[in-house]
Amino acid sequence: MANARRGFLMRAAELGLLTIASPLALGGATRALAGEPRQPTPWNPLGPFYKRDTPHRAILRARGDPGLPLNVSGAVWSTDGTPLPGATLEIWQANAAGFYDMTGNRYRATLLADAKGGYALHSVMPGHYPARVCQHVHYVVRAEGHKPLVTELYFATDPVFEGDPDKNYTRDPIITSRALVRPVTLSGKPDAVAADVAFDLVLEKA
Amino acid sequence: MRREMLGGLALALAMPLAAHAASYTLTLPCDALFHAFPAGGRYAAMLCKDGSVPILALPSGRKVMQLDRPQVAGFAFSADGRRLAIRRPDGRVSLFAMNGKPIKTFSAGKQAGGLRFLDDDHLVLGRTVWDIGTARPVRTLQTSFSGINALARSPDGTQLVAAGADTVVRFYNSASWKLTHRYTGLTLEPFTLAFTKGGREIALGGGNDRIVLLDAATGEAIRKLPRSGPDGVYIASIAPVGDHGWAAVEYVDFRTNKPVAWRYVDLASGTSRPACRGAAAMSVSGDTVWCFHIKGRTLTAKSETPPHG
Repeated sequence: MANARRGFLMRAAELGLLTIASPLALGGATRALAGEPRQPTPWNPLGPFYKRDTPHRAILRARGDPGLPLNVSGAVWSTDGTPLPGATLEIWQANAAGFYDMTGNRYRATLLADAKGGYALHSVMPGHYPARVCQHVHYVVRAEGHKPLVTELYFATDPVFEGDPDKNYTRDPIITSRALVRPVTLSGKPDAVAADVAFDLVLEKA
Repeated sequence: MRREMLGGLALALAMPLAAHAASYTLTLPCDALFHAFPAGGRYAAMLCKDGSVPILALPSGRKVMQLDRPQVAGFAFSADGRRLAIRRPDGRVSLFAMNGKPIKTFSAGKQAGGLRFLDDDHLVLGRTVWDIGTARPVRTLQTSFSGINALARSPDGTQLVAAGADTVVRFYNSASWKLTHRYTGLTLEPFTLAFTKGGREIALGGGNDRIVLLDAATGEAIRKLPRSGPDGVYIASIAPVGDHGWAAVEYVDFRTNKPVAWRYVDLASGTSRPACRGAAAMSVSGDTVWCFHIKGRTLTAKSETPPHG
C-alpha cells in the first residue's frame, strides 16, 4: 500500500500536480500580497451535515488514523486586501474512508484566524463517497463586517481529474470554480509523507 | 397477485384519483437516474439517463410534460400536486399546470438555493419568498449563512416555520413576516419539518436522526423521539398521514444519498413500524400512503394504510 501510494505521488509530481517545496515559501508568497484587492472566494454548497459548536482545535487527525496526512494552511482576507484576524472557520470533512461522523466530532473543528488572519489545520485527505464525485473539505467562514462564506476545498490530485483539473474539474457538478481546486505539495520524509495545501479565503464586506 | 393488480388497475381507471386504487403497474418511458413523486400520488417526475425529464400522470403513465435537463436547474411540485414550477439556468422561473399548460414565467435572478412552493400564492427560491401573482420578491428569510432546508405554513395560515441549514428553526407571523421565536436545540442540519396535531405541533427531522417535536406556539421542544431508523442515515422527509398522529418518515443513507427505509412513526410515543418495504419512493395522500417499487422500467405502486393505534 505504501509503495502504491508513493508511486501515485511520483506520477502526480511528474504531471506537475505536486510540487516539492518548502511550506515557508508558500506562506511567504501568500503574505506578500497583503494590501492588494482580492477576488472573493467562490461559493460552494454547505452540505451535507454541517454541525455547530464543534471543538476549537487545529489537529483533526488522531494517532493511528488511516489516510494520507493533510496539512491545510492559509489566511482569511477581506476583498480590500486586509487580513481578518479573529475570523471564525468551521471545518468538517469525511474521514479517509469517506465517512462523516454524525454522532461525535471526528474531523470537525472550529478555528480562529490568528493576528495575521492565518490559520492551519492538520487532518487526513478525505475519502470519496458515493453521493459526491470529488474529495473535499467543507468551510463556513465568518468575520465581523463581512458576509459569511460557505465554500469547499478540492484537491488537484483527486483521481477524478485524471491529472488535468483545468479540463476536468467540472466532472463534479458541485464545483463551480477552478479556483477551489488547490495544488498539493508534499512534505516530510519519504516514509512519512504529508500533503500540504494552501487555501486562502476572501470574504466580501457586508 | 395478478388478479389484485388487475383489479386495482381497473379500479384506478374507474376513479379519477390514484389514491382510490390498491395497486397498479406501468412501464416508465426511460431508465431513470432519479425519480420524484409529489404528495398526492397523482404524478411522477424522473431524470432519464439521456437528460430528459418526463412528467407522468399516475396511474395511467401518460406523459403530460417533457423537460430537458439543460433547460432545468430545479423543479418543484405544489403541495396538491397540481402545479409544477421550473427554475431555468438563466434565472427564469416558469409555472405550469399539470396538463402542461403554461401559467406564468418570471425572472428571479441567478440565485443559489432550492425551489419550493410555500403555498398556492408563493414560491421560495433559496431564501427569498416570491409572490406568484405579482412575480415580485416579498421577503428574504433569515439565516446566519446558507439557505433554507425546509419550510411549512401552518394549517390556519397564520404561521410560517423555516428550518435553516444553519441548524436554527425560525417562526414567522405570516401576515407581518415578523420573526416571533426560534428553536436552537439542533446541532446538525434539519432537512424536513411538518405541522401535526392540527397545527399545534411541528415534527422536525434531519442529520440528528431523532424526530424532535416542537410546540408551534412557543417554539420550544416538547419531546425527542427515540431513534427509529437504521445506522448511517438521516431523516429526509416527515409526512403526517391523515390525522391519527402517525407520520411516514423517509431515511436516506448519507453516503449514497439514496433512501434506504421508510417507517410509520407514532409522533406521540415514538413507536415505529416498517413502511413501504423495498420501495424506491413513497408519496402520501390523505390517509393513504403510496409505495412505489421500481425495477428497470417497471413501476409498481401499492397503497398502504398506516396503523392507527
